[in-house]
Amino acid sequence: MALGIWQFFLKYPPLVYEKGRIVFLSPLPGWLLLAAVVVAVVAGISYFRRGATLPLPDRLGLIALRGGLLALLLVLLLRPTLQVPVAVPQENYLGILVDDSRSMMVADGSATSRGDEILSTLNTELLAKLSEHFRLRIFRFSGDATRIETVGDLTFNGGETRIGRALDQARNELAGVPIAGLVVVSDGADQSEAELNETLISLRTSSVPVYTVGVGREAFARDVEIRRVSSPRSVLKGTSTMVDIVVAQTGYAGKTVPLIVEDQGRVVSSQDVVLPADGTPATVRVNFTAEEAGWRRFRFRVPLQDGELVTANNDRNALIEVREGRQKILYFEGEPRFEVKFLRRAVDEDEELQLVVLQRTAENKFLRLAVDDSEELADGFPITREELFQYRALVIGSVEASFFSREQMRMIVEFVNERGGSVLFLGGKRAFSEGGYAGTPLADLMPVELNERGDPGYYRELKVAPTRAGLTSAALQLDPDPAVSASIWAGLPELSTFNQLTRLKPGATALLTGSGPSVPEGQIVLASQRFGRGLALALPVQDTWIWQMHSSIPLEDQTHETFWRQIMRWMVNEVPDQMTLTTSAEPAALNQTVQISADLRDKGFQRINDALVSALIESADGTTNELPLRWTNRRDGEYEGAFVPLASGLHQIRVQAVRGDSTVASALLTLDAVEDNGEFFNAQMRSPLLRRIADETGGRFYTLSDINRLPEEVDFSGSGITRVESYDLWDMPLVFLLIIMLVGGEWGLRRLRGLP
Amino acid sequence: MKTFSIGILLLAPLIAAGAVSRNGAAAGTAGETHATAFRTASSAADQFPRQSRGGFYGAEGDEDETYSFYFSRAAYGSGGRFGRSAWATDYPDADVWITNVLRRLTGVDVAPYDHVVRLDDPKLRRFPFLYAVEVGSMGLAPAEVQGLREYLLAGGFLMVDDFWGAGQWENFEWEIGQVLPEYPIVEIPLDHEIFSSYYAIREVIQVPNVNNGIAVGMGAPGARTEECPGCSPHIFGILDDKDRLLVIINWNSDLGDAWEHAENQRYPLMYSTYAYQVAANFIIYAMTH
Repeated sequence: MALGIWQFFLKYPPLVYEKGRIVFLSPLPGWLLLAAVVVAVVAGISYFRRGATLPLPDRLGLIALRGGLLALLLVLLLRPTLQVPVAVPQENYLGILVDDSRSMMVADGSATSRGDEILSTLNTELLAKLSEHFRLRIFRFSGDATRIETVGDLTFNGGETRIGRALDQARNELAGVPIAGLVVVSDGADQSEAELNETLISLRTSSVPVYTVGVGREAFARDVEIRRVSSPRSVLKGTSTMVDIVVAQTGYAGKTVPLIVEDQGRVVSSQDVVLPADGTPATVRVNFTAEEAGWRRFRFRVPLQDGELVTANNDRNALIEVREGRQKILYFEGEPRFEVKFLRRAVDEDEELQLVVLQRTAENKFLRLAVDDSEELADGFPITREELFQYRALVIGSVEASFFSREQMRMIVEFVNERGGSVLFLGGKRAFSEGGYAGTPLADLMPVELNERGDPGYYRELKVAPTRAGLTSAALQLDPDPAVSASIWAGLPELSTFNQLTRLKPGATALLTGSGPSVPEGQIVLASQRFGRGLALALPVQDTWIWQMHSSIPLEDQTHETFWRQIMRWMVNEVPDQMTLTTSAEPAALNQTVQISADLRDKGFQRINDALVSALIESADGTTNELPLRWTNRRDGEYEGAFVPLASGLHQIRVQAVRGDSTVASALLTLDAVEDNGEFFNAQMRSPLLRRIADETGGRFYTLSDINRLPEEVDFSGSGITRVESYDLWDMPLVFLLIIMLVGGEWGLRRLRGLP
Repeated sequence: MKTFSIGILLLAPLIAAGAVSRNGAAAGTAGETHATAFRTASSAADQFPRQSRGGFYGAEGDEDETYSFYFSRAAYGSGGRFGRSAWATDYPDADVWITNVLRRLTGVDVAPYDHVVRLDDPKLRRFPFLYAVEVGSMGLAPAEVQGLREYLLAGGFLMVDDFWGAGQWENFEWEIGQVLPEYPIVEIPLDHEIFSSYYAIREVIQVPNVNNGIAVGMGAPGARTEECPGCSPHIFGILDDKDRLLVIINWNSDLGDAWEHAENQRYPLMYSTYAYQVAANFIIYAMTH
């Protein structure tokens, strides 16, 4: 309607004005301009003289009306014209990229799917109209763009959508020919938004506008979606594991649904979740225990709800390596104390933990416990990286800082930072500030800020309670039921501390705090922080054994054991081996390239670049391929290789690194290759992305309902081979209307004032 | 012989300086708090008058300080010998000596004073090492049986010393059988970890009481180390089903007297040295196993 009125008065559509520029084809000779000015001045004077009786506003009004008319005529005499660059018909190519991914099968809101809507829209006169002006090149794309002859070749069965890559490929196909623009028809469910930026910059600099056509609805009426699962890559068998799951929904806000965790089909946990508000993703933490060793496929799902539009986004899988075998932890205790006895007892029955104890029993006298052989720790605390880095975690008890040499301190820092090990600092008379750690390299490692000087007389008894972060930490769950766990915490007897610590390092988290008479506010009992590749913990109490021995604790109570096993398991859970493997996608999409990266280190965890690294890939269908992994040059110790999974299912990837005659390290990775269904996640039409693509390249965003304006828009894009067309403006109906208004206005005013 | 000479070297300065000890335990039934439990001996100390204070000196330990280790003496019910409570034999002198010497010999942060606790006192559970003597005349009340049983099963450690002969053995065996009926008493071989946890103990020596020791030391005719005819020293133990020692039993030997009389020039130093070494091993073992 508005467009019709515009075009009636202004003769041409707005696009012509937007893209064109106004020029005057008949420049006025100087004398004529002078004459016009003289006439105007004379007329003005005469008005003032003759109309002396008229009030000033009337006089000014009459002058304005007459002057305006004269000025308009003057402009028209200049012959104003709109010049617009227009694509030369059949000289330019127009690339049309149609999203062929499976999310096009989503039938949001109506009986027809997005794909069908595209087909019906493109098959009408739109393509015919475009082909009148342009040479059309049609591509279908999901991961890659492929040229097709007709839209009938679309299958809507592709994997993940990568708009950036598709645009690059289409442009390469059209390299060397004049391009009027590219049209992208998609729901914008791009799985690789990050790689888009470079593409857009390149398109903008080469003036190729991208016209985006959004397909689908921006919000589903009813849908539950598991949007993301953040699970650890590997866990220790029998460890209580917390996984963060991002759940989003529309239409079911406030409803309680079960969130089920399955270990290869067997339900290992089910937890009720109250669904968040529409469109607001909420993170839900689920706790389960992995009991079977090996690479396990865990499935996290919410059962299908009544009336759900998209059914394929209610579950997500995660492959987790469930490790077994004893993980070595070194506990170095500087003074004999019962913490050693009870800590050993607590983890004694845990088959996955080996707590090696180096107990200083007197100055320069050590007792070694649970060592593998007579050589282990024979010289006391390790002095070489190889010796220390064989452990996955380190517990440092009540031992003064001056015990360690500067090199040993640096080595402990590297143990955490580079080796990725964990360290736990226990409280005691010789720990933290009281042990003289302030200002040492080890103080940097601690998640707490130390006081400059220790207070040798400080001793407080305190009631321990988990913080909010502690309540949700897997390591501090004393019972699978969070409510029971909280009540166990509340009933535990008091512990004591010699170390006044209340300040956390930036980025550290307090998990347990203590309170009691004369205990300063915020006394830290357990704090953690990530440090480089590893984890650093502070537990500044000295008698957790009270939780085992106290008369209020029943003999069969397992709190002390559970606490320590979980802390120790937490410490070793994600500690990397000499070689760690990662893949560019997990799960991998079938028939799409996957990168395998290996981070390789020697026994001292120094990165090595000169090893021969090869992967033996055993596909799900039993075929075996060898793939060399080459040092990337980008980073020390980083090796890479790529392969394409051709069979769906689990792929066993065994990687071995050889240096000379000896094997440096080997690792096993299991990768799941699946028919990609990432498309069904976050599958609502994402107009912001499509708008951004259009805006940044000088194109425009459409939906299927206003796509009929596309041909004209591309015509005037100014890209490709164009010719300049001129459009006269003097004969616009608007000009005629203006003249009538000016003349009529003057006539009316004169009549009103009784002038001739 | 070598270990002995080391022991003599270690002990010599202590003896020369004169051992100092706190003069007995504080009295009163303490409240349930942690600190008072550490610092205050059980009311047992008052209930049973001390056997001896002679030859001892002023206190050295700071009562306000908290220590990692308390040498806790078990106060138990018994018929008593010679009108005295059996549990308090050599108390507090032996206790003060062992605590102070342990501070010198080892890195253990020992409370340098005596500490008595009753077997039926809930605070017992705060002190995971317990020393009991003269168990040959031990007669435990049901509450004491239960208290000791729970203590040992929760993780406590009991060192038994100074009882002699078959009769006393039978009494103790019966009493401890009430406490831990499921676990037998077994002889602990010398290759057990407890004999190498601090010093390398190569043999089990019969440590005589002070009178026998002096007699032997002076070469008196007919002098002998044993208190009963023909009885030889043995170290027995009670292990739980995970082979952890719950109780160590020093039979036919009197370590307490050897600690107590270490400064007596007539008492042979080799017995005191051995007694301290064995105690150090038992305590280090109890704190780490």
